[in-house]
Amino acid sequence: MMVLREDERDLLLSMYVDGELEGEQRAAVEQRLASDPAWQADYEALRAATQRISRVVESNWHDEAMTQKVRERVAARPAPSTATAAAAAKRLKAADTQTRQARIRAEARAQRVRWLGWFAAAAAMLLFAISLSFVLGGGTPQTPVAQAPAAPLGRYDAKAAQVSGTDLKMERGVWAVGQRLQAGETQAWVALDDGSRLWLSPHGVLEGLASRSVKLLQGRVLIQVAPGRERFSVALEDGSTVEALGTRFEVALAENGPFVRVVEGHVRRHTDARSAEARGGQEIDPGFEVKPVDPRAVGARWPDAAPSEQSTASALAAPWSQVGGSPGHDGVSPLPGPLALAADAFYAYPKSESAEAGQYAPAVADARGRIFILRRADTERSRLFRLDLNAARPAWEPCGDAIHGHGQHHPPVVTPRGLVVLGVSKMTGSNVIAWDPETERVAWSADVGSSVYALACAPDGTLLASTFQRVAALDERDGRERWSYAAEGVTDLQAPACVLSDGQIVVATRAGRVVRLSPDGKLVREVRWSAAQGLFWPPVARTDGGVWLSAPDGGLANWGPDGKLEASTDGSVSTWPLGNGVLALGNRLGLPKGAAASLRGTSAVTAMALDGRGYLYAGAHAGVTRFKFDPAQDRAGETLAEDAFSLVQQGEIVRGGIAILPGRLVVTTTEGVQVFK
Amino acid sequence: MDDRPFDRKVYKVRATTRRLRVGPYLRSNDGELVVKCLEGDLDAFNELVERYQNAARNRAVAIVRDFQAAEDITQEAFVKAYDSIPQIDNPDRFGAWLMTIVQRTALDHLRGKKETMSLESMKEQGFEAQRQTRGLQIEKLEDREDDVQVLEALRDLRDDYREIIELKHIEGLSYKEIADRLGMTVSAVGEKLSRVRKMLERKLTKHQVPQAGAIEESEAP
Repeated sequence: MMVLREDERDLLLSMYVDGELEGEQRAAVEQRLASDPAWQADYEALRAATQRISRVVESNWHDEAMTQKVRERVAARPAPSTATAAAAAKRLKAADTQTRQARIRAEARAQRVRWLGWFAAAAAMLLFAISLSFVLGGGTPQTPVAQAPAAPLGRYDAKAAQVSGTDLKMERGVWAVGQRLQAGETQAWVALDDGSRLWLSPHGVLEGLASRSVKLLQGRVLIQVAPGRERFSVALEDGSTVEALGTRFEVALAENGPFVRVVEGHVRRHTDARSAEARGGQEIDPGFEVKPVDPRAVGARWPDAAPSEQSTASALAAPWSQVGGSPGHDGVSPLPGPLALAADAFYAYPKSESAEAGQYAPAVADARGRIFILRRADTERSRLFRLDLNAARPAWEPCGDAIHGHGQHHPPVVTPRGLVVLGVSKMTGSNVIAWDPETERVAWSADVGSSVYALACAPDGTLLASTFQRVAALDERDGRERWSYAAEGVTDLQAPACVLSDGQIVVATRAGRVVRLSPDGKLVREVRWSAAQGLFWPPVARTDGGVWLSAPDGGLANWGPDGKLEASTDGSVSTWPLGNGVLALGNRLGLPKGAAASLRGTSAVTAMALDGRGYLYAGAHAGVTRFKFDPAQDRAGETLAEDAFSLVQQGEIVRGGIAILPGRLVVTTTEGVQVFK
Repeated sequence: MDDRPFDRKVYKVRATTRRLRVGPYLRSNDGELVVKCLEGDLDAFNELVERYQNAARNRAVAIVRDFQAAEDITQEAFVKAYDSIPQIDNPDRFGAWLMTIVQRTALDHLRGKKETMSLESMKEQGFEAQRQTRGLQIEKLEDREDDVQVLEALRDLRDDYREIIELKHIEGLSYKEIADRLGMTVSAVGEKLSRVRKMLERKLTKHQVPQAGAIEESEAP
């Protein structure tokens, strides 16, 4: 290991922060950082300063040439007539004065309300003291003290709910602190003044405690928290509190206690004695246990609760742990996709001169706004790269050193703990590698004995590696092998496994052997599909326990939960699960199921994704087309803004190469990654 | 074998005349600048051009898909805005008002029309003045004390210090490219960058400016 000179500390750290160090030098700096607190402190300070400067500089530059040209043209023009300009200036100044005065008046009103609030509180305490003295001392009752108006919290759906619990007079449709809000026979929405949105289940009851604080007394509530300085809290009858900041989650009161189910973001439930935290795709049960939950199922219970229309960069921090890359989640995201296309949100990397087409596995993303892609350099080496959209200046960065082994066509997976796990083909050594984006180091690596062709991740974090001859189940925490299944004669297992809702696992070989395993890897059943050729896509779980399977050259088959073949077709079909048991099909005509319009060109559909807004993105070689998809109607609707995606013109979209982020669409082509918003 | 990282530069056309926005009116809001323009202060209009040219160019590119044409449209839109500035109703919404002009100019360009389409007919066709977009973040400048503090600190730097920051953070050049551009060694670039950053850090710490939070971004639904 090379020795680092102390007098070069600033230079080396500066180069390290800017990604200018490579190989031995980089490794030496990393080792020093890990062992020397002084270097670590300097590094943290420099990194923070650099990020801050970069963020400001990035958004505050101008093109001097443009500014100069405009200045010259404007200077050459006749100035607005003095009278007109003076009149306009006077008008604007007067309007500004009025606005300022209005603001001052509003502030004064708010101040009065605050004083009244304090007065009311003091009066209430006084009243309480007087009442107490009356009860205890048998004194004479005093004249009641008038109550001041309560602070309004927001507006509610007056057709679906009503307020009670206080005799305060409020405008109809306005919910105030201290009032109870009870939903009738249907769901009711509440729009709080801080921008948060609540949906209350039929017969649900909420009490307003304060701004960003409510108490759930009955039923269920879905909460979309607007970012704010204070955490949003939900008090529960058992004395516990649920806290969140900028997220979307459900709190449900059941007979055995409260359940907190997180769709996006990070939520904590706590009492003085206990505490539990859950992220997107997890729930906290009444006993404070954290368990996986399908956020799509949560969303399905709230048909009136549209996804947040505003997708902010801070929403990127919502850690829905898997966006693309794993059966069960692949192709479906509860996250809202892009709103429109903007040319400035377009990050790509150019194709290397020496690179071959198809050298990139589909990019995956975690919902903290980080996109990962495995690049196959040649037959011996690969490299994982990361694009962090939360960075002040998003740029592709390598994750550690080159990986010995080459990546396959299937993408890495992101585990519930946020590890990025990839499988590679190589002759010897570890071939499943877990990269931790938080520590920016390899968390563990595991040798499963042979090349890994595909990976899948169960909701509990179990990693399922398809290794040509067997399925190996690894523990997400340390990579240890939990169990393995190898059927006699199987030598062509290349597709990812599929995890069913009951925990059972389905794997399929290229020759059409479809194997169902118990959660601990024991054989449940095996069926054969003779028509299958070149099986590549993962099996797709039906909600009833059945399975869909498609083969690029063999058609589509459909088995019931009992293993009986119910239907099959031939031809070239690719499949994507769209939730609620609905399947999207792509064929050479490029027609998703029920689509009213065809995709441009006649290329095969290579990728599809459904976002939380209900838009279906279908990618063929020619580009991506967006459809409005309505699962309830089981059909796709009209083609929307088709040419808005014509920017996907560099290369061809790789198989499975579409992923959804909040407000973003990530498309992997043979030429690189493109991010649209 | 190519084992280099992906291209770290954002994939878009690069200008060589990009400069930090460090004019005299950093602390003025749009409304104040518009009033100053009406009082004949061209520097105030200059500030508005610096603030909004990226958003305007992006909007034009999104419509015409042609960078060169978008440059021309942006210039044209600013000139039209200058001519029409006495008619503006809400100067605090200068950005949104300008975007309407950009859209109108870009559509004129696409249709090859010389005459200008009326705002009413644009609205009939579904074009509304956009609400805040990413490019219009600067409207919140008065709320972003941190941005202003950093920009003021940068403004006070020596020219060569500011230049190296511009090359690194605006142009996105590597140390080697900066070294080639400035005729320095790579290690001299690293040392200078490190020095400038420390200088800025000290200056900003002295001001006790709270660290900025996540990048804010708002988009019109």
